[in-house]
Amino acid sequence: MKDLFERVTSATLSRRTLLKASAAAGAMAALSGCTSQPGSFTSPVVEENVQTFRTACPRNCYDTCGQIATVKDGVLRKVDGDPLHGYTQGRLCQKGYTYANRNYAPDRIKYPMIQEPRGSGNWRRVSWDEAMEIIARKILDLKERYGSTLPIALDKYSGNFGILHYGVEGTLQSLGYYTYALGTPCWPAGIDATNYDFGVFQCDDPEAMAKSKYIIIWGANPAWSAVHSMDFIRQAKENGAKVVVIDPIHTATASQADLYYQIKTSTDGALALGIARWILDNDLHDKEFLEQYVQGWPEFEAYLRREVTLEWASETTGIPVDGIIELASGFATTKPSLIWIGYGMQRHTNGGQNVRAIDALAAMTGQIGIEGAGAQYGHLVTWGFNYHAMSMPVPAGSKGLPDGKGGYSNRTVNMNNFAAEIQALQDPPVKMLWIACRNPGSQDPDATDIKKAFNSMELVVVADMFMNHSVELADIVLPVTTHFENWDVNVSYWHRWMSINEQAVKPMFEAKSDVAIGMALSKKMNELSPGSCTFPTEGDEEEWVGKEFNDGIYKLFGISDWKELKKAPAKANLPAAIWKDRVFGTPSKKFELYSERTLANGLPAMPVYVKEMQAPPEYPLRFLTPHPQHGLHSQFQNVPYMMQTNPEPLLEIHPFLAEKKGIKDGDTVRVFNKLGEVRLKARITRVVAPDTVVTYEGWYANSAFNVNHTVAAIPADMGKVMTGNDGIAFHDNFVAIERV
Amino acid sequence: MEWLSLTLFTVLSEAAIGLVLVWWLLGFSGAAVTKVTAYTRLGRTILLSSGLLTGLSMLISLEHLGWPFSSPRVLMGLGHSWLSWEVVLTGIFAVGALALWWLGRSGNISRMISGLLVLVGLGAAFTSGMVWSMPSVPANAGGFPVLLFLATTLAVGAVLLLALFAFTADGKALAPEMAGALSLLALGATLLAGALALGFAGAAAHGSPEARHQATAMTSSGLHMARLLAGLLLPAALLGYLARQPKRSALSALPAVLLVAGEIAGRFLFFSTMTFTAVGG
Amino acid sequence: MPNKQLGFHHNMDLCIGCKACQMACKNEYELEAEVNWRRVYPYRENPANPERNFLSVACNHCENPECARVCPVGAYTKREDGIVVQNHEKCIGCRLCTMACPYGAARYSPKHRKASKCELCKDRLDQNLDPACVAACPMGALKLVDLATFDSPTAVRSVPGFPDSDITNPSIRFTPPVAGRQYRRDA
Repeated sequence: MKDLFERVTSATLSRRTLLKASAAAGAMAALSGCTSQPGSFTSPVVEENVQTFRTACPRNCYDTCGQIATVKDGVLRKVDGDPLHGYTQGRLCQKGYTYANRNYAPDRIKYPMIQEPRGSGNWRRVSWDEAMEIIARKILDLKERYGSTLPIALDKYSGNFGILHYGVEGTLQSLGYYTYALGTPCWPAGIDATNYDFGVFQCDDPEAMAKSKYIIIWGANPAWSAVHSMDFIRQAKENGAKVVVIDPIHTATASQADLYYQIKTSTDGALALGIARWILDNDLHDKEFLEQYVQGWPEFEAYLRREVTLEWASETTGIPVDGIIELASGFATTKPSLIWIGYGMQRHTNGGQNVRAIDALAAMTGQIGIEGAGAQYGHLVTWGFNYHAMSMPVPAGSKGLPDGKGGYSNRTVNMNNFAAEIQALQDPPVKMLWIACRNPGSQDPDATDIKKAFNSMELVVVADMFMNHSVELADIVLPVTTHFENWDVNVSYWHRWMSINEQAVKPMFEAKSDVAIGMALSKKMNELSPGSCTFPTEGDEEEWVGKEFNDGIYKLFGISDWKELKKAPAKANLPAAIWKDRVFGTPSKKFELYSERTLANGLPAMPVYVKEMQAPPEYPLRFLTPHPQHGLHSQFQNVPYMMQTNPEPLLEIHPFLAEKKGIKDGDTVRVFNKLGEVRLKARITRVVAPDTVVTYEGWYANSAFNVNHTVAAIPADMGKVMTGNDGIAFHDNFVAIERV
Repeated sequence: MEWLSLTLFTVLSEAAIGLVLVWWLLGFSGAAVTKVTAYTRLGRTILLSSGLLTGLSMLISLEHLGWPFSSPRVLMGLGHSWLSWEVVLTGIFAVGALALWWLGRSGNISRMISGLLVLVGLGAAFTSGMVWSMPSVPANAGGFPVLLFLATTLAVGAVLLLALFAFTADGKALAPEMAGALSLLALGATLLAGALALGFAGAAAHGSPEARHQATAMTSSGLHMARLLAGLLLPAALLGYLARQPKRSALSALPAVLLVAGEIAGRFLFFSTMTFTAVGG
Repeated sequence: MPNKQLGFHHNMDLCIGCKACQMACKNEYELEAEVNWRRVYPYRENPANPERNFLSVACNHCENPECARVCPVGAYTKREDGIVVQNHEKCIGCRLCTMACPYGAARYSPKHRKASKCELCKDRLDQNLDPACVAACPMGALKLVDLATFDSPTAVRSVPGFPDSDITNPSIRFTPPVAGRQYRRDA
């Protein structure tokens, strides 16, 4: 996020290289997970000797909840929402309420462990000293053989978005120049689209949705993945707003919709253009706004008249013409009207273009810079920390990738094509992997190639909490702390609040935070080879939190000391409608319907329709693998509470398709394409369309289930400008199915 | 839930109660007077074995409890719980049977007291049936569990006594006068049990969705068919034969074997197919 | 003046089936994984909006609680305020309550070998806090109400798929879901 933040705060397209940093360590020991059988059940609210701490959920989630952790006798007793957090309003979500269960899950990794041979399941416990020794010796060995630490690669992303967790990057940088996975799999196409259109990656305060009168939730499922926004949508509804959900799946969010459109997947741009054409034909576009604040309207208007008809839009999207008209007239005449553009929607080969087409609707109707209006996607405006944990210098004399100016830099590899690229690198090749806050074994496309990539390494180190698919492919696993066991500070990419994360309990068994691991590694590195690692060998993590703050953050949040966060979360002082001034960050300072910056990247200048990827004849069904309800990627689902509630993955199949294939509810189905296959039980349901099958990605305890055996690393159309690499078209996955 | 322990508890205790019941009923026949010694001695054998069998069945029933050693707490539920009464009455029956066995060593068993014991036993079977007459199990409405349990009590008791007629000296002494009538009684009880089993499934098949589900689960089970044929029809046929041609051979014991096995199978089905009302249907 | 009877008002029109309520309850009382005092069910009765309506049910603190009727150790009692509570110490784990309750409110823990159920967060009520499930609901779809005074024109005693209220007279009221319009591809 740090690199992305820097990109988005600059109004230009210049890339910056990532800074370096490292981390330190220190944590403590054992705790029984078992609770004793009480004579009756009491709530901690009536118990004695109970302490509370302010914590913050560090997950990759819109909501980044403020939490209150209740601790009794050093044990995390329960976790609630922080009532002083204005967006999460004292509540968590289904996943958040399993946190105590998760902290003491019986299968949490307790000690550093070594697997010999790799992939055998033959694990033995080692001491931290032994683990650090093995790792340090390998690093020094690689440095000796290749003259640099470039053979070491880091794959890290969003397992923990706490700012102190950038200490992982810091750790690697403190060893020397290294190779790292650049990019983000989730949302880059939409970020680039937002950047082309608005020039700055920012959005309105989601709490302002309560003021909207017409809300379109387009390709997002907040009922599952941003549940706290639902209250603001509910408030809007209570005040007479209409809610529309557009999604190829009839989601739980759609239960709140006045109008639901089951759109043909990946054709969202066509729907937006159809709406645009109708708005134009009915003279409902805001000519003044377009004149003053938008660049490229004449060209776009010409395009609409030339190429877009309602019939074409209907044909392409599968939505009847009168449905498009109903939506268009609702959006254009009920103001303020707002569109929430979801991340699932842009995980297609034409995802970025589709986002641009939807942005265009907001521009056409002048619905930008007004509370309760606009096209909202995400932001990073509150992420301007120092990244002290990350900012570590390389050791003197380090060599890396020559930067052409006599110096060196790190080397990057595409996070979204990790397996292939990491194996292809030469001069030097990659021989060691460090995986933290990420689970490529479970979450990366082409699971088979990921396994191959891991197997080609001399050493694979994974820092994690549970024996997931990445750990299964590792040589060494280092047990990490939960956020209740370390200090941190957290912000969100959706709301505008900042929360402190106080350490509430001691680490379980021998778990260490990523920063503590960095410190332990540095100690061992310098023992074996003085000066080989610049990461501090000790430090107080609470102090490190303080070091992340700067005047910019203080001013933005209106606080003078970060310790004030211990009393309450703080909210950024920004206008609710971020584009209030209608001054955009584009070269023209206007919203750019016609953007020249796209041309340099081989993209259309305007949000024209780019045809969606077609299914090959041998794999005619689309296999959607959106985000689950009971987990967040590979986190939570494996926890006892979740395994009980949702014991196994199910394939959602429409009754028409099921009948064609002779599949009954509960039958095992094989879902396959040329990449691989998954097998799971069928659930016959009308929430999916007849040409689509759906299951939710994630990792179940003790299960080999992984949708990524069928998902290839197909790039989305945008992303490299703002995030370094284009996104992944996860949802352009085509398969065939058969009953087993 | 594991139903074996409750199956064995109810069937075995009903068998024990039935044995005492039928012996007591036969006390009204002439032969009980003319061969009073044999009748009384047989009675003592029955009281001892029934008492022990009931005690055993209660021990088996403890297996289904989370905290078996806390079971004396059921005394606290006598104000409102059929289950409390079932336990208490079954316990009193067991103790009473043993006490009556002990008291009868003088050679005399009071008909009134043994009649009271029978009443307690029937009460135990009745309350046991009432436990399962819950509104949450629509198929169990209409008093069926009580009727089924009482029918089991009578039928199994009768065939067990018939078996005793073949295998004990006292029984053999009484058999010439009593076996024929007893076989008829047993036949009638068996047919009644069969009719109730069919009626139970039939009534449920026309009830609420849960009742229909329970009926289907029962009737589609292979065990159900096996039990109807080998556990009711076959013993009924045998009993019909024995009524006309009383034998003192092992054949007289066969209905007991078949019926006990059949009732255990049937009771297991009764419990394991119970379909409860639930939210969401 | 009718006696105080605390219970739940469940607004199914607002419920998104997120299960925060189910988990918040387990979180509050450190329940075993298998023990769900509150459960969220998919509600399939409305063909216009299949699969996407939900029903959240815990204990209905009935007027005539079946659990109290059948319990052989008298573990359940009904309080003045209408809450049906359990003396967990007394339970011997016979599980009859888990079978007798038409709504599945009583749950058996294989680990502790006893049954237990929602007690309407009586501890939290004593501290003037909402029940954990009510506090956790992101949509405000669960509310604590006193049926003696509860009066809502849209609320009903039962919805299709909910076991017959005449058995126990449960202290729950529903606002049924209203389906939106849909443009589907399988019409």
